[in-house]
Amino acid sequence: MEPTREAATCLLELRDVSRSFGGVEVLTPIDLKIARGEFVSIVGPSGCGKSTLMNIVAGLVEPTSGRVMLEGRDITGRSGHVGYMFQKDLLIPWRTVLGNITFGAALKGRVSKGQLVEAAEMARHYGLSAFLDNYPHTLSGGMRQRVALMRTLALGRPIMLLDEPFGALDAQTRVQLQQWLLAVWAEMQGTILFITHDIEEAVFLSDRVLVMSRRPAAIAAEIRVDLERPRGVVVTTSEEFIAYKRQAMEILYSHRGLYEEVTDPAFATLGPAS
Amino acid sequence: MSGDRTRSWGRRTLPFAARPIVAIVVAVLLWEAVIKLFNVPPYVIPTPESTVAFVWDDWSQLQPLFFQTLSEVVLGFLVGVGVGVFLAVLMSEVKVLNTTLYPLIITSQAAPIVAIAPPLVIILGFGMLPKLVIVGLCVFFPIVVNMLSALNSVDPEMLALVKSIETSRLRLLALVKLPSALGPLCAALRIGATFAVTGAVIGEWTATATRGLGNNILTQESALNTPAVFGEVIMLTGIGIAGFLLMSLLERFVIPWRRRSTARGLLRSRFRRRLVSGGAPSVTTRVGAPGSTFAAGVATAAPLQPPADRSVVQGVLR
Ligand SMILES: Nc1ncnc2c1ncn2[C@@H]1O[C@H](COP(=O)(O)OP(=O)(O)O)[C@@H](O)[C@H]1O
Ligand SMILES: [Mg+2]
Repeated sequence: MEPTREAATCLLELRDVSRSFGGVEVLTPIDLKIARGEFVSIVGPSGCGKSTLMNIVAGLVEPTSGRVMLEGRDITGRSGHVGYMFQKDLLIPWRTVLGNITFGAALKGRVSKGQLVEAAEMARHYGLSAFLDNYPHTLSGGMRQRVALMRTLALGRPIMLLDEPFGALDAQTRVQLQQWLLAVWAEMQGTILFITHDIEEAVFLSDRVLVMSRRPAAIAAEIRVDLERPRGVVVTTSEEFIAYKRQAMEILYSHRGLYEEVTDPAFATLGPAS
Repeated sequence: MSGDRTRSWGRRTLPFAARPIVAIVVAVLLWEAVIKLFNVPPYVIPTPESTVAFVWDDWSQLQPLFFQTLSEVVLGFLVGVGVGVFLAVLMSEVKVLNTTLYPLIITSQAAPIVAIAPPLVIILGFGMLPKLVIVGLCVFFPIVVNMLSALNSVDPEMLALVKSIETSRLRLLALVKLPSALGPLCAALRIGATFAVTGAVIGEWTATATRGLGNNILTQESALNTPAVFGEVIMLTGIGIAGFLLMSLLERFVIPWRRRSTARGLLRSRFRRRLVSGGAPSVTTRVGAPGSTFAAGVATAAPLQPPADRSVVQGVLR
């Protein structure tokens, strides 16, 4: 990956974005650039401010300072410009799967027949066709996440923010959905900003992994993952992959004050961050 | 497993539809038994037979009374529901009104309805109007309280999601808030349906210009015609029960997602069928790049393939 890529086609830019809640600094000024078509993950301990960062990008939370730029336009504090998938799937119980996927369109006005067909086509294309008429309560956790992701995708926004979308799934379903997400991303040629607390997930999915420090959070390190795509699960056992994972772990766990109580001898052998 | 067995045992011994009938039969037998056991004279408690006989024989005279009261119940109920829903939406949308109107609404219920009925009649006359107001007063309260709390407790994350997509206030109300309040509204409608009958009787006791079952009970009582009193009480009760059942039935129609696994009869179903029967190439071949493990990912999602028979899915999912 050429280093100039994000400079050339920068889609989302955060300039000195910080946020405090009641005098407590949660995010220290953060600079971040995401190129069109990139898959960027943010890993960090829970409570460090990852969701807050997402909320700022989505325009749901005003940053205490700084600007959010999308395609060169200032969208600070303005919602409705990005696709945002929350930690909870937030499917609407009274809408069918197809109704949920077209929920964004419904919020904009009447859903046209064309939009319905288009959404159904998309859902079928990504493997959801058998459940289009189902109400969400009949779906498994993995299916619900797929529908929630389709809904976010259907918004047609230039970037998708995914906040720990697979956090509540069992390991097997999670791996399936990771692969599914990569396939969707590759096909849509979309741009994704992905939050997780799972280092392996971040390395497996991303072009870049940003490691966040504990509160007040800053981006402690950036790891460029140059693994070949498309990636299969097997890649997670390769030496390269493990090296990336180790690098991220070293940063995450050696960062001063990250986990006050980490005394696990397994990490004692890791040594300081390079 | 044992739970399943108990349930099927219950079904076999007592079919669902028969249960209320059995309960009614038992109640009537108890009524009969009390009269026999304690030797109650008929002018104190009439027998079930004489009560039924009264309603049967005098139906032509009771009919106009019945329909008078029924119309008070139905119209008053509609007024109460309309006012209740309107107030709930207004108060949840305009926070200032929420805090201003709530004390007034509670006051309207704290004041005993029997005590405020006479002044209402003096103000509004002896016609239908005061009855609608009294029935409405009884009905609107559970509606406002239930619906307002539902409208105000919509998942804040859901609201954040809607905000991140962006919409108008009206669409937020129509697509998110109101549907999420339907369950509590239906519960309140059932309560309101039974309250409405009490309201109608109180209204009739206060204003006697038009004759209904309520004020006829007073007339019959003073004539010590207890079979008539009992018969009319049973008719009034019947109105309340019918209202309750009707509202339960309504709930099944307005909240289909509670008991159904799929939406049916919608335009959407036809789209879906057309799309599926269109012989779509499987996802595996279209999305999975050669050598990608995505193919494996889809294979494990194989149950996504449309079943030959839709009813199979529906059957499995309740
Ligand atoms: N609206 C808020 N008011 C006060 N504190 C908040 C608010 N939102 C988040 N926080 C605090 O900010 C910190 C980061 O929260 P969050 O962004 O949800 O963390 P993460 O998603 O990384 O787990 C937490 O300590 C939380 O208590
Ligand atoms: Mg979070």
